[in-house]
Amino acid sequence: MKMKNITIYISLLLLASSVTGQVEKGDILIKDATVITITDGILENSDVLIRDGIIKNIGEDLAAPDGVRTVDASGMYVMPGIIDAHSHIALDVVNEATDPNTADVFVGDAIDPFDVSIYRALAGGCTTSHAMHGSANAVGGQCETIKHRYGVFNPDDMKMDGAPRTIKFALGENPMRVHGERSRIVPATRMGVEQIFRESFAKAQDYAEAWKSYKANPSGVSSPPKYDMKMETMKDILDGEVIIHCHSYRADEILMLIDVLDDFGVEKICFQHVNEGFKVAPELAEYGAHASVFADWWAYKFEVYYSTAYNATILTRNGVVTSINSDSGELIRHLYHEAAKTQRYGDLSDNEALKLITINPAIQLGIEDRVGSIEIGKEGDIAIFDKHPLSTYTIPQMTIVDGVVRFDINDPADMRMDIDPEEKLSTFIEHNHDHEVDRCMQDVHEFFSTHKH
Amino acid sequence: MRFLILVLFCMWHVDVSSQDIPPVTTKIMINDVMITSTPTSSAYLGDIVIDDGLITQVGSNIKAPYDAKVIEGDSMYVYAGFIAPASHIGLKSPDPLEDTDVERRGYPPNNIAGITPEKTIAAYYSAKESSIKSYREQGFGIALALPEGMMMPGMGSIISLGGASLNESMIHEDAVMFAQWETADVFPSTIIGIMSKWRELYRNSELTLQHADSYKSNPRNRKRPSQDVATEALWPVVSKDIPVFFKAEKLRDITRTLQLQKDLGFDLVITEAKDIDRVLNYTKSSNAQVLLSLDLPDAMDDDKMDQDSTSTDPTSEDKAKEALRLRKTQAIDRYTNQAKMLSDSGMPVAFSYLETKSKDIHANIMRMIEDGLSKETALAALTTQAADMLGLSNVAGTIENGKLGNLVMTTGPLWEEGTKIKNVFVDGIQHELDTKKKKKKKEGDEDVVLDLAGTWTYSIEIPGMTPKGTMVFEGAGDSYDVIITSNQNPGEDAKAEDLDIDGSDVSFSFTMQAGPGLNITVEKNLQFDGNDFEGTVTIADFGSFEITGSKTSPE
Repeated sequence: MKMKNITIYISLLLLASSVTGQVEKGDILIKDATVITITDGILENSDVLIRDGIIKNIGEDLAAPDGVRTVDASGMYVMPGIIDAHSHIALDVVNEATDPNTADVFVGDAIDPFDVSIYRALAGGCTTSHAMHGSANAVGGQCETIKHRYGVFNPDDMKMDGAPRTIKFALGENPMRVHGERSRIVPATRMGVEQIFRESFAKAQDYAEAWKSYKANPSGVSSPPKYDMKMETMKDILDGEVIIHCHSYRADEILMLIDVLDDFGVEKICFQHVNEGFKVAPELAEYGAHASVFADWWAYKFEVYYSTAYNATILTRNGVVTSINSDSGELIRHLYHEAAKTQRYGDLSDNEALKLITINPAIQLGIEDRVGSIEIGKEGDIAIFDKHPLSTYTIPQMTIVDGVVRFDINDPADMRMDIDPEEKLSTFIEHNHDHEVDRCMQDVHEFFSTHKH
Repeated sequence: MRFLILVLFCMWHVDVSSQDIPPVTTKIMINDVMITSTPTSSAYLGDIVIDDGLITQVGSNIKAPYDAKVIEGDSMYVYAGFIAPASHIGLKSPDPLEDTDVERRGYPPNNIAGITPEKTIAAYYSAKESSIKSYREQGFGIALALPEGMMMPGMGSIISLGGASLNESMIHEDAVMFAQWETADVFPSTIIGIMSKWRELYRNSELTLQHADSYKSNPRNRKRPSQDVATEALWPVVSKDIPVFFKAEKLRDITRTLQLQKDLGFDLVITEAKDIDRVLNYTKSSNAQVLLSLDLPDAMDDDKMDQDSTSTDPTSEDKAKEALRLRKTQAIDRYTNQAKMLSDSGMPVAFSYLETKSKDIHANIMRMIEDGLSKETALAALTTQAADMLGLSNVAGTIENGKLGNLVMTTGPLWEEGTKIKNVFVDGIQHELDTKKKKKKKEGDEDVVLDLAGTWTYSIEIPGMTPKGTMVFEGAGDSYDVIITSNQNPGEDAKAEDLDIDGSDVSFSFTMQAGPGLNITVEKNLQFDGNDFEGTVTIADFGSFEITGSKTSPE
């Protein structure tokens, strides 16, 4: 038994070989599977070849190049790695809740590559997630799109290099409570939330102007403007360099933000939760706004009572790019179930349902040219299931990121990466205090003991 | 006149090393001692002369100067005085802020946010701080003293552990900037806030420095530079005149620190690293230097191991526990092995002393040596490497002519079990240690048999509060059940573990619930005297505090 544990330890060490900053890319050939490509139909008895982390070939009877591992997937289903557009796993910090605008902070600075939730997400076929700042502030922090390369030690290696920048915004009760109720400052009302956005954008315009004239003629200006990290980010949003992901529930507020963005010429917006999105689906579609929703989660606070499990379907049918997200270390383990609920509520086709957790969230994160479907030239992120992924009985068998197997159903039981000798640890059957519900309001829970999201 | 005589009489009783009266001679000759002049040279029998704080002669068969005090070094060993290249030695903790109310939590004043790069150690230094003596007794003559605080506590200075005042002790004032990952209640309340604050402060420091420079060269048509204390205090960092000593213990704190350095470009010394081996190449490529923590995790308790593995028919839970225990042992080994791994990778090894109790230093380095760290590397870490890191190679770290008269005299070779420090010289002044101290402790104490049964009250002195409660001892001899109750949380009793009674010394620990899922381990070391006791209580990572108490029943 000791021998076995040592083997586990060594295999974990090998797993974690990418310590040099060079992210590990793998080679693998998956044979004889039903391949759900998402963008090009279903291919029976087909093989997928990944070389150096990139899908090189898809087709029947592909030969395994020398030294390339072959996985027999006959009778199994292969789909692109699942993408979660709203998550808080792998983060040491979620909320810097000290100001209604924290555009200066960046959760990419707080990545925890050892969070076992990453492995659990992989065990649900999920290969990419959007690690988000929480919803305590109207303008929250910048977020990070991560690939679930569980096994790396350097937090930097978790980042999806080159993915567009994103930022969290939040409407409604959360920023009102954290700042209005607790600190007695704006925003205490929904009107106040709108003013935070307008004021921040207007100031950023002035800020950009001041820097423009300083840079044009540094010696002609009597002193350099002050460098302001919040304004830097707001300016980048105005320049279209950052996609906004906005925590939202009520239809009136959703329309309010669209108005604000329209006034300031900001186009890239994805609404998160957006429980009343079904009421304003045509308006969302017209503005080109995206929607990332829960399958059937609501009524956890007053502004989230008016909801329906048909939300994703109604949005989809109205031409809104829609995804289903987890916002939870638990739901992220079975997003394929969450997607399947749209077939019970709304009769979406298999492919429409699977798009909600693959290519659509990829579009919302601006990474659709790299992941979200099985196509030659895309990154080798693959989930293998024993039955159709929308079946209630399906069980993920293997999950591959950049051609590297990061989850295998035959993995040892304890896959924790970091055993801290100074912490009291339980066995792998552990209680996970923070993760029963979402972590949107993590770090500010002490102020409001009863609410979530 | 009578008063004067009385004063003079009193002064005769003052320790000779005290600065109140000049010593008879400033010349010292250590005779026939085994000298290890550098970490790599082997010990030889020789003599050392120190004159007015500096080493003037080293070698064999030196003739004792007529006016030197001669110290016989028979059978003893001597090494260069140790250097602590990062510590809080000699400094008091800052007083807690009285008023931390702010109007806007996102825009707090710098002192409440923990941003005080302009602070120097002058406000915190005291020659009477007990840490100076306790580190000196472990062989240290020089330390980089870093102020305590939050994210940016201030600048550190290199001091001698021999002076009677800051002026006398100062070797290099404001030599480094100190930073750490300590958050405030206001912005920055998280590590992501600290990252952002660093970036903004640094950029503004660069801008204001540029502006001040161009104003200096031609003030015409330019606005007078505005005065901002924090950004100006960072100018020496921005212009790379001084490095940043960044306290970063665990891997993620280390990679975050490296990320900041990558973004901003300052000179970096990662300080108090405990878990760096898995990002060594990354660290090397960043040109950062590393100071390893000496605060090692406790070794695994062998008794517990046996208990767990005695079961003949292990359940899956037993197996999981055994597997975890094995992984934990490996993790402890990995932490103990950091110095060796750093050394194997070709990086210099030196230590920081921000978290270590001075009495654990020797034992913890011995653990590293048992795990394969070479004795030469260990000695270099205490002497030449530490000197190099502080830019003191020319004045300290080896026993050579012209260097500071900082020496450690030991009863045997330094890294041998049982070796004790006998003499420490700092700036040529001898500090003799009583190596037989332990035996001189209150006579008869070891034979005392305590009757602890009954109820005792206790009171702990923590700054700003005085928690009180009761301890009920049930039993006799050296076996008692102890229940600890706190007056603050009357319902939450705790049971003492690892009770150890040695004469009048009693120690035990217990676990306190400080919140859901937050358990704090408390260790008590008490000396009993009749119906009273006194001692220290160590509360997890928070520190050690004085505890006193007495028996209330039976009287």
